[in-house]
Amino acid sequence: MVDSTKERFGRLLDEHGSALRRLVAASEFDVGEREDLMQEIAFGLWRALPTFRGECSERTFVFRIANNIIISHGRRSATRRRAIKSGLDESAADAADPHPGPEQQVLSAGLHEQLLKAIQELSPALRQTVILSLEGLTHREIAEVLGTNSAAIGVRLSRARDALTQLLAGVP
Amino acid sequence: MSPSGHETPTWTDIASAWRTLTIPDALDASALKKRVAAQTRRSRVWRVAELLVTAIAMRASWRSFERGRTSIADRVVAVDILVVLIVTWTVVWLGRAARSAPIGASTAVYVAVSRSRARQRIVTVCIALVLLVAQWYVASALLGGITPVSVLCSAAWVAWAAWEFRSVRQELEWLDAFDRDRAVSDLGDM
Repeated sequence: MVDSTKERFGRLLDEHGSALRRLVAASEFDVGEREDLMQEIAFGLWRALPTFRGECSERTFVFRIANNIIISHGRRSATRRRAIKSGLDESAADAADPHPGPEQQVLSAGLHEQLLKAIQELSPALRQTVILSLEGLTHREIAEVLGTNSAAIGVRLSRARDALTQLLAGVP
Repeated sequence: MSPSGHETPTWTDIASAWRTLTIPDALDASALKKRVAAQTRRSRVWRVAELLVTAIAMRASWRSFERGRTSIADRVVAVDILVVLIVTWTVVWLGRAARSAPIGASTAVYVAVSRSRARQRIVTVCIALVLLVAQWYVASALLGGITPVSVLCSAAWVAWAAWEFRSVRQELEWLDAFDRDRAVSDLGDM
């Protein structure tokens, strides 16, 4: 049975909402901006759904939209992101939110926060690739999302894994 | 992975940590609905305003003929208005076609489309400046002088063009950096 756009939208958000939230958390430095970014992605998905013709899987489609919106978002706020990043580099303690929201409280265990920060340290191309891989997408699916080939994904993933493990181990 | 942060975690450690990462739902459904409604409303109002301005400009142009004011200057001004309208609408339509770039396309396609859209914005800025110069010529040569209002409008027009040009240049620099990053990431270890 073909579901309506509204039903399909709700279903896709239910199925991929957690993954999208992780993607947003790993892509946006500013905690306050994450809600806006998540809204932008949901809005983009809502607008794009009628154009979906099944050329790729729904999961690939959702991640394509999310990645493209994150690119646009990053482009618009490039200057602000640089400022926030340099702030983090100078002093992680200074950059910490004095009034952590629920999301920060969940991350207070440290392990996940470390992982998110390490992923945020990666370059955009490596970050995109590693997040999609962590979400369980195959090399072929990642290549479909990013518009490249599986061999390039293999290279990127290898670099991303090395960089990530070094960052998490505290290697400068 | 050690909390001390000095042991090298395996990829399996990282993957399992990622899978247990739960971020609270920040999506406010009512805010999203409001956003969709506001966007739709804004789009409608904008379309109506565009059509209204076009109709007023065409009417003004036509009235000069109706009143029998068919001097060379009046005819040039009427043709000038029509040319400005045609050029503006052509640019608007082309811009809208570019804006409907597939957001569901791959990152590579999306970046390529963003780049071509940015270049199109530079063309729009150039066309806008050419139109401005043409309007100054029409105003000074045929209408007998420049008014303070036209100076103010021109200043606003140039300010917009400068802001747009700067914004496009920043966008292209960002896209170049993004492409360079992708290219470097795809290079295998030598």
